This record gives sequence, structure tokens and C-alpha cells, in this order.
Amino acid sequence: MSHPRHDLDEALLTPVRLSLMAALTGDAELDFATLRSLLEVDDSVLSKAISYLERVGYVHVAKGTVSNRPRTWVASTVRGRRALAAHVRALRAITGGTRDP
Amino acid sequence: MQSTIAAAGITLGIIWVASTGTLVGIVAIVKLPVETFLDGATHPAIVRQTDAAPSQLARIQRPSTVSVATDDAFVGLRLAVETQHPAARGRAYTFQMESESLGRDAALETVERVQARADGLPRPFAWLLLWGAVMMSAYVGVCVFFLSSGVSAGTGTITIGLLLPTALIYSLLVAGTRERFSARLRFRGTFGAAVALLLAGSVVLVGVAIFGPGYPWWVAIVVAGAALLMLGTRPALLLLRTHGVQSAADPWRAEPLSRSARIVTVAVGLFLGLSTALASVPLALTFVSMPGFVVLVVASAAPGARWGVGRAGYEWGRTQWCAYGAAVAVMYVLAVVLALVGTVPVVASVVCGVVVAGIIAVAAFIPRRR
Repeated sequence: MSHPRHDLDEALLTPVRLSLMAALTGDAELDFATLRSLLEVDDSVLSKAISYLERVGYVHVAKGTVSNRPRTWVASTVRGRRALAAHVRALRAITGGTRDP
Repeated sequence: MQSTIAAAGITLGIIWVASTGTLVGIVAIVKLPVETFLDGATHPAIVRQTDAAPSQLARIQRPSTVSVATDDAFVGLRLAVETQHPAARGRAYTFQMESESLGRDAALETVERVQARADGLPRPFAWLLLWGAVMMSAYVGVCVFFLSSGVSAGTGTITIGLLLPTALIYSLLVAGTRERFSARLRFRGTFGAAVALLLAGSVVLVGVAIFGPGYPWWVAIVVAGAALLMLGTRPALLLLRTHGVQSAADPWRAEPLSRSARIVTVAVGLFLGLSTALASVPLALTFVSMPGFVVLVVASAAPGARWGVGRAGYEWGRTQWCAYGAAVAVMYVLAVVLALVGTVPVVASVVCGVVVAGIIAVAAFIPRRR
């Protein structure tokens, strides 16, 4: 049996990407500004994280307009939610199940 | 203890590297999770400049001096480093390193903290969905009840001229209102399937009413209940689950409507009011509902237009939606009465029409501009 650290997802090892996926695992899709405020990051960092996660298929990005202004919506994909669940399972396995789920 | 040992190990290692390198004079504040080193992971040390623009990235080459600080999850290192970035050479910048990985406890804490904060964000949107579920189930229930008494030219006109516009206008308004929300509930395939099932069931019932033997009146209650269950369960569960959780800024707050939104709102009120007033005269209702439909279709074609119903919906707050709900309730009650007694005096329908138009028109001016 391999060590659970091998189940950690490379895409979720950075704090911003992990936080981003955590914010989107619920039932919600969030707009860019809300995510920026929730994660307390600047535009470029968030944009970079979203692009990365979109590239690996973990989030879906939709463009919209509000009052003729562009707006970006971000939602997690099934693949992304599964990846986060597996990543969190691996983290819990490593910490020996000392934390409540 | 583990952290302290790791920090000491890191310090010694870096001092050793530094003793063989060159001091350039750039100070970096570095934060690395202890586990990165305990695992022997080889994450590149990316340094982010924080006190000068434009942002520059550099790679630590030869740290020369080190100081160590620990907090809950990280070991912080203050380094003098050499950077590859040509623009940074010889200049006293401060760099903040972006950690390439989180400690495991810190990662789990982050997930839980962020999920807890994000959980309540779609609450205002859930209220909108719940409101929509009530509205649509009432619409479907009234339509089914109305057609349970049999289909004639009069009932067909009332269904199309009086009831259908309420649903059509609602769908246009809500498409605009959705944009007010910064956190929405994700679209689910099961929701789409529920709506498709609802539509298919409605078509079957209309078919049975027109070509078949009809159906008993209580089918309307069953259909309305099923619609409420299918459309309202998800937002209701979210509201119950996140009760007491802080949500996003209130998108329902009342703000004065713009001039164009006020005009469109009053127009919607007048259209619905006129349709209601003419409910006792089906032929006249046909002449009002048809042009009204044309206007609505044009408005649907340009949902982002300044004069569109969707644009007005974007500006609608709690007051306007409550007014719309009250106006639609009056129309549905009238439709139910029509289904029960066949016809109502013209005076009654006109009074209802005035009430419907008045409620929505007044709401267009609340709150007043200062």
C-alpha cells in the first residue's frame, strides 16, 4: 500500500488553488470579485489560479455581462470536486485521522 | 518541537549554502511549510516582490544570511539572496515568497475555513429560487385547475392572455435579477430534468383536457405540490443548512430604480392591469395580450437592453418583487374564480386590474430618489 501523500493532487498544493477549490465545492458558483474578496488575493494571483484550474479541468469559467460590464463566473466541475475530495482524504490520512471531517 | 527541529535544519542548510555564495543585498521574507522539507520535496523557491511595481519574480540562488521565525503553520525565513532577475540587482527590494505547498494541518484548516465562509454566500440567491418555486408552482397549479373545468374558447383565452404573461414576464425579470447576485447556486442536471418533467406533465394534462375526458380539480393541487417540491427543495435545504451563516451583501436591498427601469416597471404593471381588467371580456383580452406578447418577445431578444424587462429585473429589489407577487396573486385568484363561476362582473375585473397596475406602478417609485 502506497503512502497517502502520493494521493495528494499536484494542482491543489498551493494555498490559493486549494482555497479556490474549497470555495467552489459547495453548491455555489461565484463571481470573480467575490472570490477575490473571499480568498483575500489580488486579481493577478486569482486569475492565474483560475486559469490553471480551468486548464486541468477542475473549474468552469463563464463570461457574462452586468449592465454592459463584463463579469466572470467560476464554478467547480465534477472532476474538480472529486479531486478536492480525494486531496482532502489524503491529507486526513496523512494526519492520521486526528481531525474531524 | 518538530517545527523547531526542521527550522534549525533548514537554517543550517541555508547558512551552509550562503557561506559559499555571493551577497547581493536583496532582502527576502520567505515562508515555507515545515512539511516541504520534512518530505524532502523539491519545490522551487519562487520569490514575489511586494514593494515595487511592476511585479518581478526571482529565484533564490544564494541566500547569505538567515533568521528563523515560526508561527502555527509555517517557518518564516528572512534571507539575503541573490536573484536572477536583472532588474532587481543591486536594489533594496523586499520579496515575499509564495509558498509552493501548505502544511497538511494548515491545508485542512484552509479548506474548512474557506468552505465555512463560502457556504452562506448563495443564501440571497436561494431566496430568489424559493420565491421562483412558489411563483411557478402557483402558476402551474392555477393553469391546471383552470383547465380542469374543460377547455373552451374562453378558458383558452384566459390561460394565454391572463396567466401566461405572468410566467413569461417573471422569466424575463428573473433573468435580469440573477445578475444582481455575486454568488449563485450551480446549475444541476437534476434541476433541468425536473423542469423538463414539469413541462412534459403540463403538456400531457393540456392534451387530456383538450382531447381526452379531462381530469379532476385536485390534480391541480398534486401538480402544484410536485412543482414546489421539485423546484423549491434545493434552495430550502440550503437555507436551512446555512441558517445563521453570514451571507454575501444583500442584493435584495431597496434602491431607487433608474428612469428606464421605472418606465418599464410601470409598463409591466399597466399591461398586467389591463389584461386583468379585460378578463371578463375574453375577446378584448385577445387584442391586449397579442400585442403584449410581441413586446415581450422583442424584450426577450435583447435582455441586456436598457429598456428591456430583464434590465428592469436587474434593478428590482425586495419592494418590487413583493409588489409583483401581490399583483400576480390577485390575477391568479381572479382566474380561479373565473374557473369556478364561469364569469365575473366587468366591475370586479376592472377593480382587480386597477389594483394590479397600481401595486406595481407604486412599487416602481419606492424608494424615492433623494
